[in-house]
Amino acid sequence: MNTFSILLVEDDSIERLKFQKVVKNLKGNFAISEAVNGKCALELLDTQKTDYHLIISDFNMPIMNGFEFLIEVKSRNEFKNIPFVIMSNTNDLDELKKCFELGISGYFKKPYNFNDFSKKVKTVLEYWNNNDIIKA
Amino acid sequence: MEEPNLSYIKNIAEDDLDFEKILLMVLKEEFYEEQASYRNNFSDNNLKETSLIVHKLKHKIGLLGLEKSYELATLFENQLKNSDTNLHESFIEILNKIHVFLSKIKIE
Repeated sequence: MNTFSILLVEDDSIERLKFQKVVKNLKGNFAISEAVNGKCALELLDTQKTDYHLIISDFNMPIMNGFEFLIEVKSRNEFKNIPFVIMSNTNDLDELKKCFELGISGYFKKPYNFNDFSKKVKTVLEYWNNNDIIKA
Repeated sequence: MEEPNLSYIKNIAEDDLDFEKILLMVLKEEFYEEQASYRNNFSDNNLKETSLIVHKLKHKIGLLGLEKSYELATLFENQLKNSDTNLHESFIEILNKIHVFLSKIKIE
């Protein structure tokens, strides 16, 4: 079974642990690389030889936030086609609108309840894992 | 008044004791750091940074099952962005309550 590689960009370690827990329970072969902000994520993209199938990024992060990271990713030919999903509780609708204009593939709010969070993450990952185009 | 508890953490861990242990370790370590950082930044009137720390702390507040406190933290986080510090005392009470709760938890 092919590995589905995810780049998770999230500054909160508890949120990263929750994400890992959800993925552990999923059917399929998922690999997660983690970065604590956009700058670290860019470094991973530049230095690792992994072809990521999906980027899931928080919005509010120190040093380089999700929006700044998105601009960098979409400006680079080698990364711009990786589906980019924002996972955040931001209320900044203007920024989110700009994210969609830049070409994000989705956005979901991080629910307070873990079961709801789990369902949302599963839905997103299963959707993209079953998308043959991005794995081609 | 609501009290911190481990129900939500146990719900996430789903009987995975190693995972529960890691979660608690991270929670304790980061909570103390962020609590100190909150106090320092608030004292220095660095409200933008304080708002970011409240954002981080609110996830930990939620993790300990404090739903009303989580809502208060969310409100406070937004108010701080507008230099409104009215909820500081209430927020400190929440942090103190969590501090006492976590200090009683021994991780083996």
